[in-house]
Amino acid sequence: MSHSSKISNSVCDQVAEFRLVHADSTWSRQTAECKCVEGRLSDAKIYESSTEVGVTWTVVSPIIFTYRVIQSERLLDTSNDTLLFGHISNPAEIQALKNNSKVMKRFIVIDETVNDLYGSQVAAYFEGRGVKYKILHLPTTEENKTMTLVTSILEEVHKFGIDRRTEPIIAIGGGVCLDIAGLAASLYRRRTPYIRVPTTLLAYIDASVGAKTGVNFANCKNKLGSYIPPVATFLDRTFLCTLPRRHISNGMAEMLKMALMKHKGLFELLQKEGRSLLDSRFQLRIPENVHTDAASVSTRLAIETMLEELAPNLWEDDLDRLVDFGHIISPELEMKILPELLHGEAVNIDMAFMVYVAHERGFLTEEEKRRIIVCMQSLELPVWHSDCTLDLVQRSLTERLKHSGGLLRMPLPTALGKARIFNDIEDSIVCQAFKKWCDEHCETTMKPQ
Amino acid sequence: MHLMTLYIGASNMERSEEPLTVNTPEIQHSAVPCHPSLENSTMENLNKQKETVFSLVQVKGTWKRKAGKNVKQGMKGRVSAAKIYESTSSSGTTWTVVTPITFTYTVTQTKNLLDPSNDTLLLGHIRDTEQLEAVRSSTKPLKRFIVMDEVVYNLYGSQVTDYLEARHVLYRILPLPTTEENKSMEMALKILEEVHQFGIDRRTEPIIAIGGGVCLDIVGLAASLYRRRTPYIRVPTTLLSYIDASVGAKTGVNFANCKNKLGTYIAPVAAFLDRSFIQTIPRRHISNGLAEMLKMALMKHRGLFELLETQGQFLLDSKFQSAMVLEDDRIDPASVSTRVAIETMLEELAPNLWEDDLDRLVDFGHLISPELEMKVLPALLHGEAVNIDMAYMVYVAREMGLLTEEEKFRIICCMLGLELPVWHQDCTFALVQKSLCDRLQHSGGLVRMPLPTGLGRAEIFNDTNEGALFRAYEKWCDELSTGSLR
Repeated sequence: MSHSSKISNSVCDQVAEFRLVHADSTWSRQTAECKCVEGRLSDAKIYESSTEVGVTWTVVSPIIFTYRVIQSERLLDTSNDTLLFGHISNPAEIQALKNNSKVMKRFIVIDETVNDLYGSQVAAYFEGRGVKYKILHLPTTEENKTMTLVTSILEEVHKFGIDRRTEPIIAIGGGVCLDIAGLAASLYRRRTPYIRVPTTLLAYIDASVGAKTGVNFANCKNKLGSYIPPVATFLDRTFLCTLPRRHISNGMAEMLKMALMKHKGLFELLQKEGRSLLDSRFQLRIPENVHTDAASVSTRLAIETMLEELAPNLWEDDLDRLVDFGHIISPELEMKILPELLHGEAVNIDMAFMVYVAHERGFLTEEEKRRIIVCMQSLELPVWHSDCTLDLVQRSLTERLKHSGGLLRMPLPTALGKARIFNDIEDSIVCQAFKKWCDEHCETTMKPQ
Repeated sequence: MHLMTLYIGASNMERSEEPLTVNTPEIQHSAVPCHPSLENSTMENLNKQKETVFSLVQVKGTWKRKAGKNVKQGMKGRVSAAKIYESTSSSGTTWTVVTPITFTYTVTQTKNLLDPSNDTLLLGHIRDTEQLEAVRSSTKPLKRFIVMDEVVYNLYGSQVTDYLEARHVLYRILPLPTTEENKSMEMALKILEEVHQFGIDRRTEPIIAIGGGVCLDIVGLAASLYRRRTPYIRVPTTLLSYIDASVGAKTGVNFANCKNKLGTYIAPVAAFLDRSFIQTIPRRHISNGLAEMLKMALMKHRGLFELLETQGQFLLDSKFQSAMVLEDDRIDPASVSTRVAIETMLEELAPNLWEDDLDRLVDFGHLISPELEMKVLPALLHGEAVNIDMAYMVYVAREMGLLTEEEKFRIICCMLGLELPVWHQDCTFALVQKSLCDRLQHSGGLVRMPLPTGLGRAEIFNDTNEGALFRAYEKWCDELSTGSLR
């Protein structure tokens, strides 16, 4: 330490960049020029600068998140390795585990309704594979999606005991179940690997594919949570055949969202085949046509478009997100009349209103607007709701401003399958669109059963 | 079939560079369900399939995937660092998403943090000069939510209030008793209720935590959870948090009677280090912090060890308040020791922020102490428990021939010179064994024990045998149970 008073005032002056090298059990920092220590180089860097009052260090550390989304048939068939090993990409590692005589352990969180339908199959799978397991079945609803439920899951996990890194928690259920279990896993030991097995269409194409976890708080949706993705998501379409029709529609709302934002082909597919997808519960009618069947194609496109938008923005660094379409007004509406509307239904009402806004702003033609609404109705989704008042709309938009750094960031379709984010939608447009929306739908709209 | 082609065609039109997913040349139909013991299991098929890698480019607000790993950033749009790998089999498609998320945080030493003319507390986290200018020139009042440990509030609450008033900040200060016993999720949620009521901007109004490690940990967890990520700032007021809690990413609360069982690895946007807080710290708590400093010295830095050997008492007496530039240009031990402690800590934490690697030198002193600390709560402070653990481990290192008798002696003397406990009656051999057993479970089946191999040098060991551990334990009790070195 020399005469610190002689060092310049400016913090930006003389910033030293250090790389980090691992050798002899220790990490050492070194400047780029100095190659005195040979060893493993980290991607992290430390920048250092000094002033008369002290030193400033800036740490820049990239963390790589990797997760797999795997479509699999007959997931609960004991001959199918996926549920146990699907999260491991290295075949040698899988072989080593298979050869190891040590008993594997798995903790499974399963939604109560799903447990009634599939619980015994799940148990049979782990029995058949000689795995020591605990199945925790819980009612996972929007109303009990809280931190209390998270801690009660963790109490059971803690009692059961799992390895810190190699025994992922498995969550089987709809979006609510996956969100809660994901948050619990994220918190345990600061990070515990977890696996998602979605059993609803909504979860299949939405909740399972991104990183978000969460619980409700202070009567607000998903106010607490994390951005920690699962190590893997296993998608088995056969779970969908036990879903009530209403819940299939529910999932199709999110599919439609992606179509409206990004994919004209998917929109046209939903227009033409929506009804039959509903009827068939997304099950293949002709197994040989697995790659061309509407169910396969639509789910694949929905996932691909979702992944395209989520992967580059996993932690929402960028608050401009096309996937927010249908999610600006729906959170408030959904929470207000809980449990009357399912998530996708609320999303669709939001989207329907926004389609009117887009039309009012001249982005969509009357024909395009009509086509979209008709498509929504063919998917048996609500396109209007009496509790979605103008007041609620305006409140939601104000909340949006607060929640998104002072900008509206409203995704709106600019054509079928194309969209942009807008920050300058005037209140008058919103009111005009609202009036038209009500005029055209308050009498004739189909209310959910 | 005809209709299907139309849709594929339509999807194809949108992305002319997309490989047509229908034309997968090697579809393998598994007609027979595969038994797991057979070589050709479903999983192996999956892994053998050809993988296509896609980069992601943003054009006009929409992200599109483009085949190829090295898509050049051109006029077209922004290229993401994330990649999607895709492969298809008979059961369906597998996508692998690989996304780097970069965490950047600043650790800034400053003086007179609570002087209204010092910008640091309000703006020190802003690294972008443009953004800084914008905030400075804006007339909109700043808003800040501050959580303060109760004891710290009694000492500095009025200074903090004066600062915020003078800077015309809309603020709410929440004083809380933050102790190891109430370091729980309930406390984190209580904080969040207040934050939510107050209302903060999602990205630009960081929550500020002022206090010791417990306070910083709890607030950090609360902030990490709120809106899935809310920026927060740490202002450590104890020596321990100054060189340890403030410098890494970890947040946490206790759960099921275990230390830090729940938490996150979300770093603060910044930590502001003002040494003057330490002057109101009781002597015992200064020793407490010195334990973590000694830890880094023993693991990595002989020079720091020697400084603590010779200047430990001075540091305790002066409470780290000695001037940065002393008379005769002597080197100020407080500045040097804190600087080296932070540097060595950052060296070990930055490349392993999320503990991908469970071999961590900074775990020294943390294998047995968690159990001990929780067992006798609140008899031992964190650093004291750490030191007892380290003292025992020094005996283990000696027993294994990694340290000479002289080195062992010097280390224990140094610890005593720092007025730290080197033994505890509740640290029974049973507790030691249980801790190491937990360590195995917690660390992927390996004990990963950091042990000094000289003064200021260490390695991680996995093969310590029961006999050595027991002999070390006996010697440790024999020599140190009286409270001083025989």
